Amino acid sequence: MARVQRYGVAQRLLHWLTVLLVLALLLCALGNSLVYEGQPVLAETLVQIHMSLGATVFLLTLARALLRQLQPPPALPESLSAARAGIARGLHLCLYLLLLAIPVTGYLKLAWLGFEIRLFDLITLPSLALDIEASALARRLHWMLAISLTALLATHIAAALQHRHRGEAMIFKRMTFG
Amino acid sequence: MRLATWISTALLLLSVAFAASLPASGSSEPPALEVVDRYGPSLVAYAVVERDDGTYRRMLVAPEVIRAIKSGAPLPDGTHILMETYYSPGQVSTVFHSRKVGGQWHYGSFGANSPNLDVGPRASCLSCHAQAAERDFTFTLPSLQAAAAGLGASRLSCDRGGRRPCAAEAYQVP
Repeated sequence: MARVQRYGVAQRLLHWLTVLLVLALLLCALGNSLVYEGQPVLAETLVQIHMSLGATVFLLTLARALLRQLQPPPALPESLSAARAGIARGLHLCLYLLLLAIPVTGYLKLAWLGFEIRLFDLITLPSLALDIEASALARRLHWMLAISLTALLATHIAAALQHRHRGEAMIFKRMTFG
Repeated sequence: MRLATWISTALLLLSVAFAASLPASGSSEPPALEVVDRYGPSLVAYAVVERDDGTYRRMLVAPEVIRAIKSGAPLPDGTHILMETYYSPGQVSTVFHSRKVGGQWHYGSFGANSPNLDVGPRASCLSCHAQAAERDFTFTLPSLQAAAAGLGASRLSCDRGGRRPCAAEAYQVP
């Protein structure tokens, strides 16, 4: 039986940490819209967590992109058609780009309104000169990209499960620890 | 004759009194803005926004702000706007409020029975009010301007429930 070639330990850890953080980010955004009316203080706390975790995901994604250059991912099995391999690479690239672009648009939509974002109540990001139109554009992009990310994540998970059930478990196992 | 004189005089006085009680022709005074004192500083209710689900919100502001924008000036620094939420008639729930500080809007909220007028930068509030950025981040600015123009309090209706702000046209004063 062929030995499974896995991503490096740091890459796998960062991947699963990103999974947890993105899940928390989505829950914070959803929770904010659900509790705002009755519990505005909790809603603000959720937004603060959302912004801090978003910045963390941005930095983790940069680190992962750098690691990927230093330590290329294990090769895909030859049984995988060129088309499917191309789609997989494209999907991964899109996920990286979205994980970088979404936090940036989230920052810009508030910074262009003159708002100073504080991360973990420790670091203050600079605000920008008031630009209402640019902020509105960033807000729309943030929303659209977040929806796109959710759709791509669903595709990513479906593809991983499909590999697992089509006798291509080694693709799935590249990112696991077991 | 004397009786007829008395009756005539009485009828004349009654007619004068009746005429005086009628509004002067061509001057239909708008209803005065209701004064609300329960939150400390004296405020006036300048708008009510009703929603399809039966809930409504009442907007309050200091009368000085209404006077300050009469000339068409923007909302001055220090403007303090309160929004009472009503989930059942006459029962105030959360009160949201905003204050203009150094040109920036700060926000806060409190329960109706424990007024707390502290405000601060709030991302969750600003994210929503950004949709009214063209109106100085104040959805009901047209109602404030209408009150300043002497048109009294506005009554608006919105077909969206929950937190979502209404479409821009819902805040236009008819």
